Formats: sequence, structure tokens, C-alpha cells
Amino acid sequence: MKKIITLLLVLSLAFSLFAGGSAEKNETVKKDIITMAIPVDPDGLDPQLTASASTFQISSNIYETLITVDDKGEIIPALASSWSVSEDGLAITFVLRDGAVFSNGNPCDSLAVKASFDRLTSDISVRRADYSFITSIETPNANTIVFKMDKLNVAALSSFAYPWAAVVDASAENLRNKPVGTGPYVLTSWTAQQDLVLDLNKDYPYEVKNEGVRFVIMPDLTAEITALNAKEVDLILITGDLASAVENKGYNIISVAGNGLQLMAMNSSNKALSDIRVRQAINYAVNKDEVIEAVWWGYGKKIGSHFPVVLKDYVDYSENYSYNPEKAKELLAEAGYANGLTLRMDLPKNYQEYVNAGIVIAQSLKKVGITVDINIVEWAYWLSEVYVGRNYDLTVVGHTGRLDPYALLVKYLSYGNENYFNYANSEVDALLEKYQSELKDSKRSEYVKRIQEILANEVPALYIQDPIQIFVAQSDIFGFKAYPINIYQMKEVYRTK
Amino acid sequence: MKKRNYSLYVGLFLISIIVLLFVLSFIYLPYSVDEMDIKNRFAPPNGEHLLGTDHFGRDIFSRILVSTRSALLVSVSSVLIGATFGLILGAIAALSPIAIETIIMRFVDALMAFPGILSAMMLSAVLGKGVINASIAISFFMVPVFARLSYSMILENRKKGYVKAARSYGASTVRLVVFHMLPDMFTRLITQLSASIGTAILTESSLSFLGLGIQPPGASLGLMLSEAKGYVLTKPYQALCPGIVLSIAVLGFCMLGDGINSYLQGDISYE
Repeated sequence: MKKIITLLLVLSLAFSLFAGGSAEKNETVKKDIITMAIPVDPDGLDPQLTASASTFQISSNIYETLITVDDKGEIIPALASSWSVSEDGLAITFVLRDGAVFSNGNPCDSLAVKASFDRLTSDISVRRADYSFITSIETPNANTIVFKMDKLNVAALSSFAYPWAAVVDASAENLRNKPVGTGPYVLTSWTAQQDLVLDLNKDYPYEVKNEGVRFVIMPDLTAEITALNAKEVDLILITGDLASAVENKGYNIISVAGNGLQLMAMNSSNKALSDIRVRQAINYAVNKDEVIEAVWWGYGKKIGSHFPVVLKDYVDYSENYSYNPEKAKELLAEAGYANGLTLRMDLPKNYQEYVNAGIVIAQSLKKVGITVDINIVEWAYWLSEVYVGRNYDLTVVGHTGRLDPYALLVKYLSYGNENYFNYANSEVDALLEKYQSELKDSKRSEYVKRIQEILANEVPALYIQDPIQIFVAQSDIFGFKAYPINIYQMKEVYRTK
Repeated sequence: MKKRNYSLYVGLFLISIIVLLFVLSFIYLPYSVDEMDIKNRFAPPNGEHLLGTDHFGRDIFSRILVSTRSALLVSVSSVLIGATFGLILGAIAALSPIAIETIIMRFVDALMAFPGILSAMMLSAVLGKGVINASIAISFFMVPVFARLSYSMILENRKKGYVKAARSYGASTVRLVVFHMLPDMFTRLITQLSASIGTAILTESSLSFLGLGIQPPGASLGLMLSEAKGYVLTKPYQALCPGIVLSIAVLGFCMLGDGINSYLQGDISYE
């Protein structure tokens, strides 16, 4: 008996020590450090050496781009306090903000910016081809930098806002592990497969609404939700099928349409699909709301043309061919397919959501007399045979958006490399050509809107949805926003008392 | 002291469940396998849906009924085809001159060296996906098992008195093998067949699980498991039924093989 009591005493003592230890630890953690769970380690923190979104989500907090975008996609100042585009559109001048310094103390003047862009266009950089339009970089004074090009490129300005165009200290060694930037945070520790800790950058002149950020690596979504429930993390990103696990628990759920779209492409070189009536019939036959509910659990914004809802020139055509199977049958009969039609559908195996969407669509098409042979293929096969080879009838896939609509819509240029729809419309071609050299914003938006309208009517694809991202935050966490490019701006996030 | 042959009875009982489902699938199918009812997805078992519904609101019971078709048809047919070719190949090897015998049996050994699922996957990749190609792939890797069986049995029996007697009456080699040796092999053959069908069912499911067998929106036990795996944390029930049916089928055939063996051979087991 005595022994048991002793044991209990020792145990309770040990326990209280542990409890005391952890309480003490909690006190040292500053009150408003924000913890966010991320699924994978970033692929290094040098934004010029990778194409990985996991890097940009974090590096966008350590480095600054010359300009950036707000949550509406409008360009706003960042490292450059102002900018101007020359009359002919062949030169862009940025004026850097006063007294910018890198976190290692080196000044960030126009020469440093030039060195960073020289590095971005050099052989070591992954995105160098995207910046080959720059023919020369001039630095008239310490605060001014001018980018010159010999051909008009209306997407040039927005290309300075992407996270891979961030200004890095090109003279620093090993940026992958020891990032040196001018952004709101500096990296203080990084334990692989565990966490990254970002502390405030003392030299950052603008407001940061928290005391620092900690990214915790959690590959498993259910583990992230468990950690959120245990208040170990403040912020997570989840998928629609798990939304029910966090609903009605007092969390701040930030669900925003992402800059991207998902569609079922229809190959216009197929005899049946070259008939607009067949394509319209397919659009009438599918209940998009049902597809979105079945595959994305309702987390998606229905679209009717090739354009993400978050971009500024978006026009809503989502009800253009609203669900009407009777009308679909009529159109098919008119087109001469009253007795049915068989089409093959290639689906990329590693994107379960597209496979699921394909299965649901196939079922809807069966009801109007179109038999779909589903063929689930590897991603490499999909890229070579479907996307590049254009050897398919139907396929379901997603496209990520860029800031400039041209990169999206160029997929419909009849002679373009990316036109895997085999779509040809001379008006669209003409509009796209004019867009490239049009300097007036209003004109460009007019063209973009007209192309959307044509696509919405001629439906070279079944446009399904703009996917919605679901971020879940603790009830006292505010300020997190999703941007049209894949970055996290942690400086906006704050905790309330 | 005669031990009760539990393996045989349990095996027969389990297989009769599968056969019952198989027969039922032709007589009565509550829903079409690809009929979706999105609003009713992940429904628990109820009056309308005997085993509930999956992530697209499809009736799990109907899908399981149809799955037993592919499970049984693919496995039985591929085992029969594989066994036929294997037995012939083994017999030819056993009765041929040493050079041909060596070539055939080393070839069989080489086939045997590949794990079954791997060679089936390789063949499916070459021939293309689908049920028929999956059957061909499975029968292909059944060949060496049966080739070795007939080869060893013939070598073993060749020296036996009844074979010598038959030969002395002038029986031809083919007659000798088919009418005299085959019946003697029967016990081992039936055991091997039953166990192989179990393996074949598992292989067919594995191929479908990996996306090489039955293609969606069709139904197969492996495909159903593959579809359920994304929801195993939130809705584990969906994976349960196809998993149980698959276990019943595989266990049933393996136990039946064992049971028949004990029944025909007395208590001696080939372990």
C-alpha cells in the first residue's frame, strides 16, 4: 500500500513538472504569433529556383516583388512605390521605396534589383523564358529602374507581380535555405518536415498585424483538423469533402473562389463534336450544380465560359445553357444523332476530382443517349496524347489562372500551340491578335468580354466551375485573404483579444 | 478417430453466399450500377438501399451484386484457361526428350519468378485495360503453377505399376495421360484449382483497384474499394461491404480447396 502511495506521489509530481514546463513554454510564446498548417515542406525558399507553389506561399512573406496584387487582382505598390509604362508600352519604369534594405543589411537599390532580375533571366532560373521579353535593364539612379523591351507585351507589367519575380539579394549565398529579402518577415528557423518560424523584419516600413508566423508541416488533412480542434494551429486549408468536419464549430471559414477553372474539353476535330448542336446538347444535358455538389461538395462557383470569376473582366454566363435534358435530346436528334452517339473520355488518374467529375458527367450524358467510354490514363499519357497530341474526344481537367487574361484565352487561338480544343473561330483569333497590341485598358476588357461571350455560346468545352478554396481559421483569427496568384500575405492576419 | 472437415463445410458455405449473390445479380438488381442520386450519398443501410449508398449516391448492394459477376467470371474462366494450357505444357515437358523438357520447364520457372500481380500488371499495360485483358493476364500467370503440377505428377506416376501395365497393353501416350494419369491427379488438381480461383479473385480485384481492370462507371470489388479509399477516414462504412465480400470469396475458395483435399485424401494435408 505504501509503495502504491509513493508511486502515485512520484507520478503526480512528475506530471505537475510536465504541466509546469508546458505552461511556462506557453508564456514565452508571444500572444499573437500566427500558426498555419501546410501540407509539405517548401522546395527551398529561393523563389527563382523552383516552380513549386509551396515555396511561393511562404517566400511571398520573406521577399517582396516590385508590385503585387490585392485580393481583387488590382496591381498595388510593394517594393516599388510607383511605376509608369511609356507611351509606346516598350519601357516600364519603377521607383523603389526610400531606404529599402535587405534583411542582411545590404541596401536594396536599383543595382540590387537589377542583379536580382539578371539572376531571374539567367540559366539557373526556372522561369527565365517568361521574362525573355526584357531586352535591357537600366538604372538611371539609385531609386529608379527601367525595364525595356523591343516588342509590345501587354502582360509585361503583371509579370512583375508573380512571386517568382521577387527581388532577392543576388549577392547572398544559399538563398534556398537562408533567404534574404526585403519583406515583412525573416526566417529564423526551419526544421525539415516539422516547422518554419518567421520573425518580424525590423526594417520593414509598413504595418504587420502580428508578431510572427509559424508554418507547421502536416501532410495529413485529418491531422490538420485534429490540430485545429486542439487549438495547436490557427489556420488550415481543407478540401470540400472535409468541410462538414469543421462547420458549425465557431471557426472562421474563409471560402473564396480561386483563380482557376475546371472544364470538360470537347475535341472539335471529332466529327460529332465539331457540330455546335452536339456541343450545346452536351451542355444542356449536364446539371453543373449536381456535378459541383457530387465532386466538390458544393464548393465551387458555376461558370459558363473560359474565365475565372475572380478576374475583373468576368461576365456571368453560367446560366447560358442551363440544365435541360429534353432540349439536349432535341438538339442531338437535329444533328442526326437521335439513335445515340459514342464518345471516349480520357481522365487523368492522379486527379481524383476530375475522374469523379467525368464519371458524373458520363452518367448525365447517358440519359440523353450519349454513351461515354471512360478511359482513365496516367498524367504523362494525358499530357502527351490528350493535351499535346489532341487525340481525344472528351476530357476533364483544370486550368490555373494568371493575372493577365491573354494567357488563359490564348488556348482558343486557332493556330496556337495550346489550342487542344482544336477550336477555330476567326473572330476570336482576330480579337486575341488585337489584344496583344492594344494599349487601352478599356478596349482590352471589351475584347476579353467578347471572347467570353463567343466561347459561352459556341461552347468548345463544358465549363464547369471556378474552384473554391476553403481556409479554416480559429474564431479569433481574422484578416486572412486569398489572392488571385498563389501567395499567402501573412502580415494581414491578426488575432483579436 | 475422424476429425470433422470444417474447411470443407465453411468453404462451401462461404462460396454459396458468393454464388447466391452472383445468381441474384441476374434475377434481381434493385438499381442500375451507375444510377446516381447525389442528394442521397453516403446513406446508411435502409429500406431503400439495403447496404446504403456510396459517394455518388449509387446503391452499394447493386454494385456488389454486379461485382460478383466479374469476380467469378474472370477468375473461373482465367483459371480454367490457364490450367488447360499449364497442364498441357507440363505434360509435354514430362514426356519429351530432355532438351525440350529443359527448355519448357526453365521457361515455366522464368514465368514463376515474376510475382503474379506484377506479370498481370505488365500484361494489362501491354494489352490495354479492361475485363478481357485482365482475364488473359491472370490466366497467363496461372500457367506455370499448373504446368509444374502436371509435370511432377506425370514424372511421379510414370514409374507406377498401373502405368506400366497400361503401356504393356499398348496404350498411346495421350491415352495414358488423359485416361490413366489425369484421374490420379484429380485430387491435387481440384485443390489447386480451388485455391487458384481464390488467388485469381484477389488479383482481379487488385488490378481493378489499380485501375487496370474494370473501368468506371462499372462495378468491381477492387474498384469499389479504390473509390472508397478517399473517404476511409470520414465515411469508413463505404469500404466495409466490398471488403467483406472480397474476403468471403477468397477465403471461401481457399478453404474449399483445402477441404476437398482433406475429404478426398483423408486427413493428409499438403502443407
